Amino acid sequence: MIIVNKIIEKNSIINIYQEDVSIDINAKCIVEIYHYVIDKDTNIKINLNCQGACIYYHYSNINYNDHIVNIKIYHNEKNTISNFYNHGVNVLDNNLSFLVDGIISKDMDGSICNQENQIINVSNGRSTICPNLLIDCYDVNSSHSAYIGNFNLDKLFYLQSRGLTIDTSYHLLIKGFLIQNKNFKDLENNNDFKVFLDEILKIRGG
Amino acid sequence: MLEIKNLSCKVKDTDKKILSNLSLKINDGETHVIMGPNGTGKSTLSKIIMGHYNYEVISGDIIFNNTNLLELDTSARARLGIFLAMQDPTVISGVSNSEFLKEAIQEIKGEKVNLYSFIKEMESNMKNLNLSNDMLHRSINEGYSGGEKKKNEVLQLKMLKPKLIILDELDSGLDVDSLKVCCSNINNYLKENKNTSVLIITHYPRILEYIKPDYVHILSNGKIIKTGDFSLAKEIENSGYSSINEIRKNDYCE
Repeated sequence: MIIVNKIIEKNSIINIYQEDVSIDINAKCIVEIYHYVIDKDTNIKINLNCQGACIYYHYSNINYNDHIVNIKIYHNEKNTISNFYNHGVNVLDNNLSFLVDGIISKDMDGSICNQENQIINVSNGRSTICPNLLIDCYDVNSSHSAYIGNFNLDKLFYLQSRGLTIDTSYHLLIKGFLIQNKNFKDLENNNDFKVFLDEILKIRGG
Repeated sequence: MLEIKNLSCKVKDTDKKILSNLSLKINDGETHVIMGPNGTGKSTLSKIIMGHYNYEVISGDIIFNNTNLLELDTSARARLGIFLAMQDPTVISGVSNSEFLKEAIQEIKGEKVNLYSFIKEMESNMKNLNLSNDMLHRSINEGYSGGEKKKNEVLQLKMLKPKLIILDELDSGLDVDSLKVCCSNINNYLKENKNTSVLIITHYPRILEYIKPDYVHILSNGKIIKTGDFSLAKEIENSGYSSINEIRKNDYCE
């Protein structure tokens, strides 16, 4: 198993493809991560070890078989911030599970822990999301959300009402859902990213 | 241009009838207005013309330039040149305005869009609508103010160049200045495209101060009960819908 094992001490934007991840943030800094995975289990462990440590984590997954995505975020200091955006597309009739734990232990006052989880079932997949917030501290700001289903039909109607076919509309929605980088044009020459984009093109549905 | 013949429809999978034997003919270059109290089926009519998934046509036809729209899906209707500016435009995260409009123009024209001309045209239209250039790269309607959403609808209209424009309550959520800007952009488009027809759906005659109608229709309980000119809209503004005898009779019958 390949693991991206990093200790981060300055503001960073990191793109990760396929690997598992273990990251310690040991300084007051903002870290933004874009993590792309095709059809595999994923383990992600984040330690926020310094006051002011802040992470924005964008996880995107295209799934064809039964897989589990295990994410653990440990707030090990006061005033630490985590924001997780976990998006999966379950293409076939399989099981995709997101198990996401935000953990804030005693006395870690002023911490913020948010997670937003969505899985789009293209076929008749059986997906699961467990958005857990394990908090042992009163002065904390946290939120979690989970959505499993297909795209809202109003979105498809809107795009189609502008002349886009159902296939193109669906493709745009999936791309927008999975490619969370605002400036992904910079990545289009990256081979790993190209593989992910090509995989999106193969998805058919709607 | 557009002919609706004896159209009746209901909400899909229910018995709730929305339109009843509605007929309407809009010729090339004409501007028609549909007014009526809340819940009479005005917005539903616009959605049915566009082929919304939530409604089912029970009987009747909608003919657009000799093509029966009821045989086509929503995107095919749009590609024929029908544009619906929505009352509450849908938010679509992650899909940028420029990306989706470029794709839409490509699908309508059936050929690749020249990126330079496309960006120049977008910038010019955004400037005319007092929209900032970052609108190009923002996700569709995400985080927009009410005014920005409506202006974005007009921006799309100008880029897609329709033959029939349906404005579903364009004036709702717009301040007076923004309404003027939107209407002046639509009027300029109509000047350049004389055969383009417009169907305005509204509660209030305010928008008609800027886009002059040829005909005003009053819709009540799913059917057109009265047709007139601009003076009919003025009458409603002054005395309300209850002043229309046909509405009183219609409500009484129901």
